[in-house]
This record gives sequence, structure tokens and C-alpha cells, in this order.
Amino acid sequence: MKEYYFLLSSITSAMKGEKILRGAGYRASVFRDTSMNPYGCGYVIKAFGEKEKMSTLLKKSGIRINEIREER
Amino acid sequence: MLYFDNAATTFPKPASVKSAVKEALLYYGANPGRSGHTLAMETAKKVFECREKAAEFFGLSQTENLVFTKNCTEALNIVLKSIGEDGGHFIISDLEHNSVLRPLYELKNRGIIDFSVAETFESEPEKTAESYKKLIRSDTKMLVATGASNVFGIKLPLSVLAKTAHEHGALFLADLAQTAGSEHINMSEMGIDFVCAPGHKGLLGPMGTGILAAEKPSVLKPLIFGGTGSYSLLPNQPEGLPEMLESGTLNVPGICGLSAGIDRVLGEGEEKIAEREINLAKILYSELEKMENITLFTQKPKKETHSGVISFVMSDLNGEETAELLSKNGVASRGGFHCSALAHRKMGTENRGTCRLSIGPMNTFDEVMRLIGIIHSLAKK
Repeated sequence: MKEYYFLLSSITSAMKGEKILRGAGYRASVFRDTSMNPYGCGYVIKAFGEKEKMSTLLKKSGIRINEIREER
Repeated sequence: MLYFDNAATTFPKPASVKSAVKEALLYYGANPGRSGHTLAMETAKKVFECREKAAEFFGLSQTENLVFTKNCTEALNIVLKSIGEDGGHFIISDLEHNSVLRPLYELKNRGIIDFSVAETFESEPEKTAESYKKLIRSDTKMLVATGASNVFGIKLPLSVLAKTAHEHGALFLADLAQTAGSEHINMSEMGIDFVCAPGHKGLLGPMGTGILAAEKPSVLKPLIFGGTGSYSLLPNQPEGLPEMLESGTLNVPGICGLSAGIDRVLGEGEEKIAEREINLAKILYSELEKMENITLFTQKPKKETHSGVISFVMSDLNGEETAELLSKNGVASRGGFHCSALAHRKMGTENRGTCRLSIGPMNTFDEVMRLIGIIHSLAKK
């Protein structure tokens, strides 16, 4: 299992996503980011777990993920 | 002062709401969704908590489709102008407030849309639904209905109208200016596509708060454009709710107060609040009915078909004069035409207006009895 960055544009989606992932037992936190998003300000959910499972959970809840990055 | 102007805004606000506003000013003073520092993130969390609570309150399927506005009128304008921008036909009721009538009138005047006004029938929901049905055309895009008239308290059958709209491929918008907080609404179960509600009436929040809840968010367009705290390097307005419709800094103290207001409503329960309000309205109506020189315009209120709003006039005074007389005797009511030309025209009060007494969640039996005493003594003169 690795740590992933889910790049989102909306703080509302980020907070919703954080809650969903935590509810499913993942370690997740939200922070603001201006360097990873090519179009300026956005939000990131930093979460530790299986990428596919976490991303399916988020998408199923209607959260639009701009990009997923793996922590290096 | 005896406050019976709750249809305009509820007063007084519960102590918990005042505390929440104060707490926001003291401890959540950063701008949510703009900066990444701890205080900004904590403030954003408070906003998110209220958003989530309000979405659940209205049975909205996705939290992000709950948009904070500055009032119910703004929410209504967003929906009506978004849907009406490309033309089409709308159906509204003859009890709608100017915040529904005027945006549509404006669009019609500019030759963009057409709209029809459906006749409503007090205590006869089936007839009201039938009336809407008869006006549906092949280009009808949306049916709009108020939860209850802001002047006469007459409720409209929202579930039935939502079903009628969908059967004909149209959308349904519920204006809950008068019933949010005293009438249980579940958008998903009732098939309501859009809910517009004030935060400062039945939900007991501060003025300057409103809600737009959307089950069909993709059709919405912003009324105002600007900073959203996202995609800052792009010149175009970002897509996606709620940020697309929330340009500019949010009313955080108001939203925190609204959050406490919703908690208060949930604590007591909408059903209980409605029961108490309608019982007080029934007492008031029964006593007014007995008095000489008092003219009432509706049937005795019933919970299923009326809210706690009673319109009347006294002797040969008009509505404004009646309200002025009450004000001189320590009663806050609202006289005139209540921003509801359609409703007054329907009830034949467009020349004289009415004086509106609106019972809210904070009113007590004792206050109603004192009000009755005051009106009784004035009506005798």
C-alpha cells in the first residue's frame, strides 16, 4: 500500500472525499495546493491505501478527481 | 413587542444561533476555500459541516449540490434564469411571490420565455394539480410552486406537482420560503429537482443566508462570476457545484448560525414545530373570526393545507393601516401587498392589501393570547 495524492478543484469535494475515505478506514487528510494543479489553486486528499479501491469510492460518491499522483 | 412577522424573517433567534454567530466571528474568522493555513481549513470545515447538514435535511443526494446563497430570492433567480436562458415555457401558481414572478416576467419581456399562471384551490390539492396539468405544453420546461403562500398560508401539493412535471418531461422547482423548517421535505423521495429556501426564516439562521439544493445541477449557470478559490489561473468560471455558484467570500458567520438553526429545528422536529404553529394559528383564527370589524380571507387553517400565516383587515382600514395600528400597540405584523401581486389579485385584495400575522417557531400561546386581546380592543373602536 502506498500514499496517494488525489487532486481536486473543490474544497467541498475534498472534504467530502476525506470523510468518505476515513469512514472506510483509510488514513486521509486534505490540504490546499497550488503547485500540483496546472491551472492554479486546488485541493489534495492525501490518503494511504489501495489506489483503485480509494478512487472507486470517491468516484462512486460523485467526486471528480482531476488526477491521482503517487507519493515519491 | 409581540413579534408576528415571522414570514418575513423569524425573530428572536434561538440562543444557540446567536452563540454560533459569535463563535464564528471569534474563532472562525479566516476565509474558507481561499488559503491553506489551519484557520482557513478549520473555517472551511465549519462551512462543510453546515452544507452536509442542510443537504441531509432536504434529502439531497449529493452534498456538493447544496449551494449557499444570500437569500431565497437569489437561489430562485439562479434556477429560473439558468433554465430560462434558452427559452421555453414555465408554469407557476397564482400564489407565487415576486421572486418567482419577476425573473420570469423579465425573461418573458425580453422575448426569451413564456409562462402561464395556474389557478390554485384552497384545501383542494387535486384540483390545483389538475390546473397545472391543463397548462402543460410541449415546450414546458419547468413547474414552479411555493410550499405555502406568504400572504394567505395556503399550501401547495409539492409531491404531486413534481410527479406531474416529470410525467411531462419538465423539471420541478419548490420555493420553500415559507415552509422550510416546518414541513418535512425529502427531495429524493418527493422528486423535487430544485429547492430554494431562506436560511433566516423557518431554519432560524441569520439574515443574509439562503440555500439552493439541486438534484439536476448540470443545468445550472452562475448569476455572478469571480473568485472561487479554485483553478485560479483560468479566466473561465470553473464548472461544478457548489463553487461555480458561490463566487466571492461566503457569509461564514451566517452559515455557522444557520447550522445551529438547523440543529435547533432537527432537535424539536419539523412535525412538532408545524403542529405548534398551526395550533396557535387555529386559536388566533377562531378568535378573529368571532370579532366584529375583522375580515378574514381564508378557511380556518389546517396542518395539511395551511401554514401559520393569517391575513386580515380591520374595519375600513387597509392592510398597511391595520399593521400600523398594531405597531402602535406593540405588535409587529406586515401590511400591504407582501411582494405578492399574484396572490392579492387572486384573493381580491389588490386594492386594499391585507395585514399579515405570521406565527413562527418561537411564538408562544401567551403571546397569541395577548395579540388576540390587543386586536379585540382595537376592533371594537
